[in-house]
Amino acid sequence: MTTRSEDTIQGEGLVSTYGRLRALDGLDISAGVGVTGLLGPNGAGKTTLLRALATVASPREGRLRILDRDPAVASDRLAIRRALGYLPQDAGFPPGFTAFEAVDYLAVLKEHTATAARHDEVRRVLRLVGLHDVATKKVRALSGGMRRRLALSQTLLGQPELLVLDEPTVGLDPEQRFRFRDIVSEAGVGRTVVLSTHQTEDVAALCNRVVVIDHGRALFAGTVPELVGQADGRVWVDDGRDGRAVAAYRLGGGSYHHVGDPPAGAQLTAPSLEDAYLLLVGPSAGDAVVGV
Amino acid sequence: MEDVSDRELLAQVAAGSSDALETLYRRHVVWLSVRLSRRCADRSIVDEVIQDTFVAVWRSAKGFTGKGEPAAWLWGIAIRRLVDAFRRRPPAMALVREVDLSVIESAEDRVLLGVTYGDLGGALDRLAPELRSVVQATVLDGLTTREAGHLLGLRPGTVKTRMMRARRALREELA
Amino acid sequence: MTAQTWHLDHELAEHYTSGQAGRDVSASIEQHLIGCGQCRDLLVPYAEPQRSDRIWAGVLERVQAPPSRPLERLLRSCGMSDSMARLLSVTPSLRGSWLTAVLFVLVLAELAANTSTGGVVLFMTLAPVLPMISVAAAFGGDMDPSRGMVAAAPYPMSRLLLVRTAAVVACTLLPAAALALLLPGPSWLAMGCLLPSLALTGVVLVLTPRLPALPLAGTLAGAWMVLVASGWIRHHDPFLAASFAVQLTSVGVLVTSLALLVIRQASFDEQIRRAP
Repeated sequence: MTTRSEDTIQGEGLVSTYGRLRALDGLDISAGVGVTGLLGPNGAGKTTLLRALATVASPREGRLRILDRDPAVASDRLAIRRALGYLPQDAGFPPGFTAFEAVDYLAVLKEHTATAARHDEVRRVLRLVGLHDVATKKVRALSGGMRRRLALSQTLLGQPELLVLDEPTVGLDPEQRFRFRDIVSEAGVGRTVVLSTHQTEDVAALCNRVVVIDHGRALFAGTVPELVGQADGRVWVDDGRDGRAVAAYRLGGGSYHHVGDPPAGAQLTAPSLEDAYLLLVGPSAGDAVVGV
Repeated sequence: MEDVSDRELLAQVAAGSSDALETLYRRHVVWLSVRLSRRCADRSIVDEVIQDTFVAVWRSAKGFTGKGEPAAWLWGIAIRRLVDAFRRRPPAMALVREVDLSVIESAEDRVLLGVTYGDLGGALDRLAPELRSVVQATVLDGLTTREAGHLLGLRPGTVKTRMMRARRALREELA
Repeated sequence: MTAQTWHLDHELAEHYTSGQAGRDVSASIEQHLIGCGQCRDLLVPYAEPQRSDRIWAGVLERVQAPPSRPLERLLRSCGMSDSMARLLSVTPSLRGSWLTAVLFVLVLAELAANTSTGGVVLFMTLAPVLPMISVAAAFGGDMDPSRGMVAAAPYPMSRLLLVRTAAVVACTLLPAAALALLLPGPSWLAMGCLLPSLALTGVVLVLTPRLPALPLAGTLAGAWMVLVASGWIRHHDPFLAASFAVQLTSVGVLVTSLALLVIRQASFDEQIRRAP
């Protein structure tokens, strides 16, 4: 894998373990300005990788550089945190706060000491995610989609250079997801955004680059068209289910859509991002393993 | 400008929308400021009262029952906040301005006056200033005797006496 | 010309807003404006933008920023900065409900102590232990839903926890000490519960990054209970805690804990963030 020197994130041979489980198993990653998507099934290691990028966890082995700094060094780590916005998978807020107070609390933790300036900054990020009009509502009174947007808004405090978003759209309905993607897309202009998802639509809509991860390793890294191209000539339709395919599913009309090595004379069809993903990840794409 | 009515805005404010409060603010701040400035010459006090007014609107928007004009409700809050401000500071410092420009009022103004108050307008004009200010505070601004006293720096007893004299004078005029 | 058809024109609007209109005309205009939105709108362009914006900014600040939680209001009224008050108000064991519960238990123990020696043992067990448990609870751990985001923030965790610990200790140990003075017997014996409390708290602080806070606190509480109970059973001394040996050990433990915390501050900081 070639890593360009101006990349915001450069990781090589990253290994991370939880007891005997190797969550990251020699993973390489690079990401620069723009939106990079980590695509992979549950348990692939996406959250572990994102925690390492957010300096909340450190890999056991491997070389990692974030914003041209070494997260293993304390002073560098502080500098990274000052330029970072992190949205964990299960982001919540202390009970009893209003939306404004919740973001203000995180702004204090992000070292915004001057009160007036900090409040202006809170209002700015709330406006960016469209929540400025509910700023005085208690967080518990907000819908799930609004709470997710609130959690996203705190990542934008202080205009960070790097945004790390773990499954940002999970649990959102299609309309909420659409709004969310819009905000992330805007945020990615001139900034590095790394987000994880197991939804191919998010990647297709949002990402300049995509890294496919499974079992702690990177199976692919490149642009979305390059990923789709991997499935060229390897997607076909047949009336019956062909057991030799890597993955197959029944279409609405009654025939079956297959991904894999097509038999001779098969009726090929244009590949989608999902097809390419299934090809790479294979049977484990459908597994519901508890994520790490 | 009036696509959303004041009533609807107040309902939205009651539901917690600060945008609705801002829209309401931009619509009403000018006339409220001017009207307050004619009862208090100190700009900083007027600014403070305007701020207090809209914070009070935020807190009590639910209390607007819908009867009567929203603008009247807003003025009721504003004038009472002015009274509170005067109560906090010695009235001597907050001069109530009495501008006497009756000599240069145009013919149009006199017609206007007749239109709004009928015979009363001219009679009001001819009242002694200290009686007129009491009439303005109680009748036109809707304050109680005690509140009018705070606003004008008078004891409630004095306010009552002057109201009686004003009524007598107006009755004599209009008879 | 009827009242219904009369409205302001631009000239009159300008006169009125600049304060030049006569008083009776102005009075008429004012009464008219109450009922006429069209004329009110006519005045809007005469606003002074900077003045209006400044006043609005003040309204927004008062509407959005003042604390909605009673604890935060209390802290700020005591003179604390609003940012520090916000950080502290998140602490579970500084909430009214927690502190009331602790106080309630201590008062009950106090009353028991004044009726029987067994009660004294109870008090000497609980008084050091309750502040320590409160500190353990202050660490939040799984109790804090925002810990994922907090862990990635630049604010030094050690400072945050030190301030929270200090606040919790002040709110729990001081009442305990005050109540201890009301125990039967010489006051200095009852004061013997202070140092062990601080020592136990120190142990919790040092070990908590590696071990879950509340179970750890529970274990230490159990150990302390055994110590006090054995003093009562074996030596019929309810004030074993005040004995020289225990006091000296407490000082030793406390000093060691503080030293460890200071020396290993950086790694302590990271461990707190990474506690899963």
